[in-house]
Amino acid sequence: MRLKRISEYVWEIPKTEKEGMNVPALIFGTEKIVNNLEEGVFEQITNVACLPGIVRAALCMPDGHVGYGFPIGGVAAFRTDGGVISPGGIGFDINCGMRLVRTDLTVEEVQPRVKELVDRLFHRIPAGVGAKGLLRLTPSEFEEVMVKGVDWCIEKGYGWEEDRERIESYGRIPGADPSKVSKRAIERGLAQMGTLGSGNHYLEVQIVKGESIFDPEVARVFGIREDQVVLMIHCGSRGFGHQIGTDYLKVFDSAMPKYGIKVRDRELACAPFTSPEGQDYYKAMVCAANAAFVNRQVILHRVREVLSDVFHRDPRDLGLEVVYDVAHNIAKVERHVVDGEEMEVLVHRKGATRSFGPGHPEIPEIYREVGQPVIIGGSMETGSYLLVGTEKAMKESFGSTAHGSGRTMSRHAAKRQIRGSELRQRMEERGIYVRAVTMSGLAEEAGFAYKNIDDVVEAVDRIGISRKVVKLKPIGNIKG
Amino acid sequence: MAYSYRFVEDLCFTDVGFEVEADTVEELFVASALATEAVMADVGKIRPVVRRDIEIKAEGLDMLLFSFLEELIFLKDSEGLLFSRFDIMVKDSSLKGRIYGQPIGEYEGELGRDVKAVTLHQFEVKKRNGRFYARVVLDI
Repeated sequence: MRLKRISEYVWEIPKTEKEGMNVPALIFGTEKIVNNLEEGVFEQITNVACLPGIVRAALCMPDGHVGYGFPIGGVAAFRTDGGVISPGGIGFDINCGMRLVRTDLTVEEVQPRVKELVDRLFHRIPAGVGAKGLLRLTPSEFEEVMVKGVDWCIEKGYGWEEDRERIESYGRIPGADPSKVSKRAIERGLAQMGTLGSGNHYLEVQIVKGESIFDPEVARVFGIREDQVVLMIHCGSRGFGHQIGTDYLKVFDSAMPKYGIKVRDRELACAPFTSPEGQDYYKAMVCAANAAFVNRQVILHRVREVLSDVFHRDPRDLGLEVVYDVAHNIAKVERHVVDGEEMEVLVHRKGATRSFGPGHPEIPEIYREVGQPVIIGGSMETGSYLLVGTEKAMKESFGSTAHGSGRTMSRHAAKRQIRGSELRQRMEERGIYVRAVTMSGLAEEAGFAYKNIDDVVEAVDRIGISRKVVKLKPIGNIKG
Repeated sequence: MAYSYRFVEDLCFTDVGFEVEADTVEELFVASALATEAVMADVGKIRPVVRRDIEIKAEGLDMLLFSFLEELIFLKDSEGLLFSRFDIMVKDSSLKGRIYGQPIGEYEGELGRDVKAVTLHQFEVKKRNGRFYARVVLDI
């Protein structure tokens, strides 16, 4: 496919490249990243550019790789009036996301006890196939979770008042309607609130090294300092969200002929946002998104209990505060300027993170002056990053940036290269203690199976769609 | 009577894809079910001690297979069950049968990856060279 370099870090696939494209596709990245992208990414992002009501351009972030329908790293905005909503632009794991938690603990205090800490977390936080969660909910309580999100947790004692403002959309996206959720989705998700899941989901203990703080002033605002221990949680809405995605994929697959919509890939099944199917899915998706915020909140509650037990101190005394929580599989109604005109759009972020710049009213006051915290998770071997949103992201990428490092190797290929037990040993030698439900699953997540996180973060920093603040180094990891 | 399944890396390297070939449509469904369960567990170690009766209807054979595999994923999360034996009948676009497996808590083998969903990515069910063929990608 023909790519035209339009600036140092942006490549364009013009809308003449494929029949049916309504807008061009833009690929964000360094030359090295773009040269190494699979051809499938270009196919998928240009398929997205064909969807009805898309505005300005279909975007692919530097961590892009082939997904279903949309590529992972795909961002697309559609007019709320005249555009579509597509489950394939969100992913089955609705509101999969990252939460970063700070502590007042130092490396010196935690490093000698990291095995004990990770073992305790591993035993207390359910993970892997069939794991049952920390909450025992009735269906009517679960409906409250869907509507109230993190407010429900705070009411029930699973969170602190101050957690709320440190979560994207304050942990409660408006518009949830549990009547649009199937009984199957509720049955699937009811027992799973407070579980990590499997695959690339994890809970990680990380440290801040002095040389890895790139912006000390913003780091200070985010409560991050040298020699500090932090924790990162990566998971989503579990079976509840997966079932909602599946239910509506089937609904949209059958509904498209009624709306005269043809797509190049069945995973791009969609419906007009204002249609009954589109509205029903949006309302159900919001239920799953709020449940995902709750899932991460309940896990944090357990993390607070475990750290309190291990260090014999109150969680508040340990400074176990949320830095921020971001969704990276979601569609949100936002206002953006498109071709000089401010309009309401539905921004799909599939493996992409919101990155709102300084002054945006959606950012809580504590961070408004500097911008929204952005959390980009790397592989368990290479580390992760905390960045900050920028004004340029508002102009260039609908306030979006990358979400992770992006896979470059199949799961089977990774397993052929290393056994889980061998990888665990190798990581331990490098100061990362890991516990995993499955050793073969662990091998699939080896660092060499992913792009270099430093390259991805360097790219988004240079493009200016988020700015790096601090790199976080893992010392302990729990995998489902 | 024969069936086989094989995992295919380049169908979608971030997740798990497999291809199935079988002499009959029932065998195609059984082999697809075994492949799906094999992602989550060692099928040979799932003892068939619990039975569930299932009945599924869908528009077309492809969506029937999609819904059948989706049912297995649903039962894994809602009831915590893994399956290893499938006695099913497929007629037109409906499936009826009994499936046998074991609660995850009683399973003694090593668990694998959690399957989130069946996808429509490169999804295909067709007759090829006189046999039934399916291509499935699971989101994990």
